Amino acid sequence: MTPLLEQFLSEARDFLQGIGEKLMQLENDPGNAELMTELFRFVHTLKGNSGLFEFPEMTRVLHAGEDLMDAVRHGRVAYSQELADRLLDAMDFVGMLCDEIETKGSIGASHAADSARLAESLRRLIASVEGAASVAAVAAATLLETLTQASAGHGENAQPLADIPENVRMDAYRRACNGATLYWLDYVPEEGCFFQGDDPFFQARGTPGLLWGNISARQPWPKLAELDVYRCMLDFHLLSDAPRAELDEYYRYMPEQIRIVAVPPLFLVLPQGEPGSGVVHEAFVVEAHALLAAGRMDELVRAARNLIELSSLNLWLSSTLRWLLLVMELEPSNEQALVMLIESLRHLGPPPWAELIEKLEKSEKPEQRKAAESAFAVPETALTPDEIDALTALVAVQREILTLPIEENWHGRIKAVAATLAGCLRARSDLAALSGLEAATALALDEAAATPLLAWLDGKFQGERHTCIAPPVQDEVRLDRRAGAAQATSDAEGALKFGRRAEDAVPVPKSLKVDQAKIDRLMNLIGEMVVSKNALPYLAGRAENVFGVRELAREIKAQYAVINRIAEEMQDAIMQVRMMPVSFVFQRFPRLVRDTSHKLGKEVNLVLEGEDTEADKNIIESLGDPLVHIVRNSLDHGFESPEVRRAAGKPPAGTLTIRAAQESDRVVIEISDDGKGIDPTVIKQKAYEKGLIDEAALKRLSDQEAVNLVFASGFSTMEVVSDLSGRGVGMDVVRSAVEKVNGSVVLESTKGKGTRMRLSLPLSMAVTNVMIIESDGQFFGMPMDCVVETVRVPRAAIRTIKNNLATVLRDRIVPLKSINALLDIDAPPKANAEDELAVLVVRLNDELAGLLVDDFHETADIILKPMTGMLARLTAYSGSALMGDGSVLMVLNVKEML
Amino acid sequence: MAIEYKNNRALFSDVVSVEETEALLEWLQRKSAARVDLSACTHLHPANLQVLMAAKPVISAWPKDAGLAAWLESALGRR
Repeated sequence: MTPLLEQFLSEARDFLQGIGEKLMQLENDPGNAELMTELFRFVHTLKGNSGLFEFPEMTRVLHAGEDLMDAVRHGRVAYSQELADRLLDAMDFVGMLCDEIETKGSIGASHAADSARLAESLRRLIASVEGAASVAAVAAATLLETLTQASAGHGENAQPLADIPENVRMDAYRRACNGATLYWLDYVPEEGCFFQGDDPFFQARGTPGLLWGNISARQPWPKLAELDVYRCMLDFHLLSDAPRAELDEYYRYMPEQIRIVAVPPLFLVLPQGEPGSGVVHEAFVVEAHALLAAGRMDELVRAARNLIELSSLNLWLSSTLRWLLLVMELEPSNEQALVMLIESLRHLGPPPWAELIEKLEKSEKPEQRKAAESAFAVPETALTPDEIDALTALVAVQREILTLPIEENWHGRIKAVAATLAGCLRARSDLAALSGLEAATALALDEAAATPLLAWLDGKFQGERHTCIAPPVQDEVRLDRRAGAAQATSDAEGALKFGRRAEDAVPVPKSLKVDQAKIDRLMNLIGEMVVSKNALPYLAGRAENVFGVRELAREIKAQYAVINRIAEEMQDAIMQVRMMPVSFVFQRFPRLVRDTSHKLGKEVNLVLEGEDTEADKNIIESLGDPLVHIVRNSLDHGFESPEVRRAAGKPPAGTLTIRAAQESDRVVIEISDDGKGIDPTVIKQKAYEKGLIDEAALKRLSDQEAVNLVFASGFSTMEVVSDLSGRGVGMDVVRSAVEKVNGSVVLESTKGKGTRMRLSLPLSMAVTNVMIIESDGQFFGMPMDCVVETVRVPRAAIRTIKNNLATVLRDRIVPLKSINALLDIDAPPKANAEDELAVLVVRLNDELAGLLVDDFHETADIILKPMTGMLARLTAYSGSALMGDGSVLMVLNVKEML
Repeated sequence: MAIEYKNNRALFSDVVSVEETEALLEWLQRKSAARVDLSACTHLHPANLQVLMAAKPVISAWPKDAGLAAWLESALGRR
């Protein structure tokens, strides 16, 4: 699960909660426009967020909800109890989807139909049409009727199935007899779908299990001049043998545009052709009936074959005979069908399969017919004796399943059983028992055993149990259908209920949203804790030196060690809370790079690496703007146009890599491109022209130094100021922004090969590591970041060059400054017994400088507090910190000082 | 170009996108005896198909792609 998705889920829960609350408030105060607007905003935002992911089911429902709320907001629809109910239902559905995403990572395609129905029921309110009957079901029913009636009727073109070529139908029929279920799909794309970038033809062609398809115009075509080519006027009709679930999955984005209906295989048996003479027919019909009645199939086959050879191929007769042979081959036992087929030769019309199927169903499988009926027609509320039987049998089967030995799939099995039982209960309108079932299921899942569920089942269905004998296995399918019918009954009746009752266990969100101020307060407190903890060693020292109690001093030290450990862990934990992945900044780049490179006519591939590297929130936030600057610069100046790149022998599309990684206690972000790089000569020239460097520097500067001139304030190489970059602000802003958070920037570039920029930032700004130095009896802090080394230099090794002191360290001349002089302290630096001076070598913008101090002390972790008020003007100090003994340590700012 | 126009003939090749539709419609309006060669076509956007269905030009060659051919024959009516 991606962090984005996690965030979405946690936000979605908040929104759902908010929506629920607002609806409740509206119930008491329906006229409150403010509440209404807020409610709309919630639904609107939630919908927008859901659109970021591939959850069409969720987005569809929310979209309908949004439209409805918009209508209410503008007074087109009045707020009503029913509206609130439906909206709450829809939100429960969304909540259910959220749960599913959380547990499974995605939404099953099976929710598409529910989603469409819910959306429809919401939209219905806008159109203020009453009645909750499912439109999809009605549509499917009519569709089946169309197919049925067409095959019973006589008009050749009125039968959608008759459009399918005979060989395709025969193939499909063969597949159906081998166990496949055939589906007829009516795909009616929206008129405006082209504008959404849809290609319904492509969609239709890709339908799984496609056996046949055709395209028809929705209405007669107008004159070419009046034709609106961008309005989709096409309907698609398809025949597929893919499983229903696969079709649902494939069309899950457009359930309102697709109607899927199962086609009984016999409906495909449609003879076609020219009438021809009737005499032969009559004779054959009589003979065939006789043979069939006598069960002499072989002879019938032979007779049919003979007649086919004698007749022309495109006659109705030969078509019928071909089908006759096929049906005899595949369904030899289906005598009634054969009779009807033979009979159809008499009147040269399609056999009335619908009647036959109805008859078959009536005599053999009433429950199946019922299933078909209740799925498509208006369901009844009361259970028929048939259904009660089915329920009892179903419960018995579940019981059987539960008593089976536990194998590997027990988890799914228990869930399946629980779902089936819940369906049974709903069908019995026994909603009160549902919570008992849920409890038993949860227990069963916990214990990994079927016993709790079994116990519940026995307790619940004790009375009914004696009647059931476990039915044979082949009956199960039938039973399932019956159960399906029963369930459909209760489901459709009260519209769809995804409602959760108050006593249901609501999943507790795993993340907390906390105001940053609270974290900051925690941070400050732990800072003080660290400082006061540091007072303990001083106390121990006093106990030993002043009061002379050695024992106590040792105990204090032991206690200090414990408190120290806890405090450090605590600090670490709070730091973790403030950590954020760099993806927070990175996620805006794909879009930025895409848009900008398009605008510039360049081709750039963006590669992001190490997005899960974490750093303190403040650091991450401070990264945003500099990174955008750098990326824009790179796109604008770094990359060449595709033609230039091709000419230079590079791939036309450039690559921009942004890589984040953690290196000890720093986050390193590297932005590299394979563009044209920076030409040091050009840079030097430009800098000279702008007066940033003098002629001497122009000659002296190394290439690397020249490249770093881009960081100089007011520098720009672009002659033309574009809206992207070139205004002379940019790289210097980047540098100062990075330095503000104690970071550093390094730029490396090879002409013609590309540029690489390295930003190095501290993981956290909370704690600063400083070295304590002493001068003229005062203590100062020096950030460890800039300390290179500490050396003691003999006074003799210090030379005076003009007015400046310098010494040679490892073959380099290091200028020396006395810290006393810099801070205006009127005292010479002190030397130690060997007449050596303490030199603190610090780094300043790639140059080294030595600070003459009196003495070095330990390093310490301090919480640096910036100078405030009047003191903020003292730029020589970057801040102050409280030490363990209660004294204040001033931390020097080397950059300002030198 | 996914559609190549040569006098009275339009040659479709590869995937013909929705961008071609306007030009195709305009061309079909100008040519009364238009002939369309679909042999090298692998897919065409339904907007183009609509134009062909409405204008009913002579299809001089059907797509080599059997799947596409079956669809188009159903829509454009192979006689």
